[in-house]
Amino acid sequence: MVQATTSDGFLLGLESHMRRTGQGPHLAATILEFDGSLERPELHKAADALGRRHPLLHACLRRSPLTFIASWHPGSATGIEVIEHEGEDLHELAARLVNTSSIDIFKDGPNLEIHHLRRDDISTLILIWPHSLFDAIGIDKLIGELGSTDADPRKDWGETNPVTGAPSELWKAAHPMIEEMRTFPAANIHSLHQPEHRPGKARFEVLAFDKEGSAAIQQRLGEVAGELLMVPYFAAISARAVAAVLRERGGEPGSILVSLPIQRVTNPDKRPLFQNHMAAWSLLLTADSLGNAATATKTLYRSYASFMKRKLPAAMEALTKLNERCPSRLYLLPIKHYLKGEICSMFHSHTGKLAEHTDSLFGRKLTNAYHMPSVSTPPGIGIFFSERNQRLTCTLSWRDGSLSESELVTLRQQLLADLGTSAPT
Amino acid sequence: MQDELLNIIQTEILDSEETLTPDTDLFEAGLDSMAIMQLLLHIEDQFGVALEPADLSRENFQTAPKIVALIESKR
Repeated sequence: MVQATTSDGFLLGLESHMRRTGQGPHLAATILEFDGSLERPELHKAADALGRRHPLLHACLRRSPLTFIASWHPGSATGIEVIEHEGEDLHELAARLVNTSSIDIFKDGPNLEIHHLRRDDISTLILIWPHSLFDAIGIDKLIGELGSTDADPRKDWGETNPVTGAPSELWKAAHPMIEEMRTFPAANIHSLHQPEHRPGKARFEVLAFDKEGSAAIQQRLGEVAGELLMVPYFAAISARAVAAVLRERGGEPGSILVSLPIQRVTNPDKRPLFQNHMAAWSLLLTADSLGNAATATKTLYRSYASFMKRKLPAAMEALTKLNERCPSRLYLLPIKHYLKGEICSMFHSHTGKLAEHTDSLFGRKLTNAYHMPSVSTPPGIGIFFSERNQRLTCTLSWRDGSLSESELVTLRQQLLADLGTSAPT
Repeated sequence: MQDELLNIIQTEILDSEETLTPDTDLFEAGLDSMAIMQLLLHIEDQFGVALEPADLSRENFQTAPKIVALIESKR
């Protein structure tokens, strides 16, 4: 048994919200594209070993009846089956798998599905995984060991909950973050969630840029923000894309609250394979700061600096620790109260270089890798970036009912205009 | 300034057990975009220098001596 991290607690609250509103479990797909057809026997053998190696791949999440703190209860370590597909459209298949997967973190059974798609003698692997068990760093680490045939069971989960203390101490420590949240109602924060529409299926569009397009984006980043300020730049232009859709809907121009996942473990070598180890930082972009990408990037960086200087990360940690006993269905209520029904305006991440240390798998070169995470509504929209082999991939993720086809065009056009490139063909 | 900078990067930003030297390639040591943002805050706080987007290149942040040279040029 391994105790859920405080980040797992937040995700459990989100998962509870998604299930109660008919959005299903919180799952993501990771896509691994290859330059030819994979060696099937090797793939099947490695998948079998992977399942036997990691009991947490069969764990379920339960709350203790005594402490009410959630823990992962490992199941029996058995192999993972590879499910074969032929000739289907990659992204349609991945979306269907995310929407129909039987993965359930509250039940014993596999928490990872491995799908092998072959089309025109080219292989692609689609990994389906629950966000409650992995964060993006964890799934990156999993890719790094996907080729291993070591079947010895391991217990290599790490504990990264550094915050301890009595509830009264935690409340005191969390107070600055609560005060911060109390300022949010005045900011008129909106997302793409439309309460009058019933939440529908998870939908995706993948913009996989080639090296030329990615170089153009990199050049624009250098001109606007400096080539090293990648995180605030991509978050800022994503916020501008969401703001463009909100403008099109009319009404008063509001602020965009970006929920930015920050890895709690700074040393990459110490980041654990399983569970979530992120802190979600809430950074505000007011309507007047969204006028152009440079101003929005600078404002977001200043917002980050202010968050750091006011020691809000520690306050946020204390708040999530304080909340770990909170029933999942009540977890999001305070933030929804302060944000008038919203959680944030959008989900966003730039996970950097994906599968950086994996050149090939099962006899074929790994040509591209990226994530397709589903999102909840609210906020109804997520814009995610990653890199592989000097190629940038952007995944737009939304819920049916939160974004119309014409609004998707607006979102994409604004994003591409800021990125300084055209849509990949 | 160089020793102070290396100490900040090693202990407060990268949490690295490896001792960083003036020759260490900081990107290979793990300096990513998030770490750069923390470093910029430290540079502002400790050395009173706010850097502009044009200064934020890989070339300028590759090693500690290069960062020191950049800070000195802005003072």
